[in-house]
Amino acid sequence: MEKLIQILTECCPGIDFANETALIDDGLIESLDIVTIVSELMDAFGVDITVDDLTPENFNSAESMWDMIQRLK
Amino acid sequence: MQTVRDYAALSAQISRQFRPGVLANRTLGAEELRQEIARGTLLAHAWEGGLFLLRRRPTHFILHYYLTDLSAQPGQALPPDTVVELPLHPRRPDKAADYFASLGFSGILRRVRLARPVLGVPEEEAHGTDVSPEPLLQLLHAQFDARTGCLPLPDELVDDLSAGRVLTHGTDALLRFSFDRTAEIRQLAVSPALRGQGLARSLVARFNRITADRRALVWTGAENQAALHVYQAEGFAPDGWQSLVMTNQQENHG
Repeated sequence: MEKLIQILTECCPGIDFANETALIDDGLIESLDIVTIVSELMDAFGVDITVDDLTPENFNSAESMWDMIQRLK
Repeated sequence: MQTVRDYAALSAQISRQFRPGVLANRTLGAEELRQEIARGTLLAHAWEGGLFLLRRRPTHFILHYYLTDLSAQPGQALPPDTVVELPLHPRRPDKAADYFASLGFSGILRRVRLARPVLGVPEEEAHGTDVSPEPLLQLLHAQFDARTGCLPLPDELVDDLSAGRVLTHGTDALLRFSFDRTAEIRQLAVSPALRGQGLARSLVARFNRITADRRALVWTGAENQAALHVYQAEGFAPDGWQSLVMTNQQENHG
């Protein structure tokens, strides 16, 4: 999880990824950020993320991204 | 360019583009991709440096891109009358504009995004309407450049009308919007004869009453002072995102 927060912070500086739970709904990250984030996550965690995984539910918080990574491993 | 028939194969192709450093514009979601494939309007071209997806429209193509290596040439020219919108944000310096300029594209419009926060409890519900789509389509096509206006196809407008996603004043003014986790104004049009009567602002106010429980967005021309004034008067403010629309269309094509 710490590695995930570090990656997210490098992709989108200035966002409190440890505590925010509505990253998409509040517009803190955008679909354009998601492409950047997904690319880094696939590289760092060795998972295959597909278009079907690019849902707001999977990216609204660091925890939901972490759960997605665990599911895909 | 190949017409895409197989969603699974396309999905795998897109996943291969998710590499650190990839440049992309708006990503088409799974549902949008499936709709385009079902209509037969999605084309794709993959090469070692990226992937182009083209949505075919009656007068032009809309390009979505994933660029992983700018030094690798696509090997195939994009069709004439292709339009691409590049996202611009201070935190995302984008080299794609130079890349598309090298492919013969030039900028035709700069857009700015405005956002409105959650307002509270909705004061009005969205209701479907039985207004005929034809005059509304005519109004949209008269008011917007088809290349940059993101105009709906006739069947999309029919769906939006029945779902209550189009607010109208007869057939002289309309506001079309999408309604999901965020609401987004897609077009706002008032026929020239009725301008200056506050119709645009009253449609945006009604949109605000319907969508008060979620964040709302709108993209508008950076130079469109009339629209910027209406949106800002109704609680929208620029949020930092801009875009550049580029095309390889020749001027004399209209």
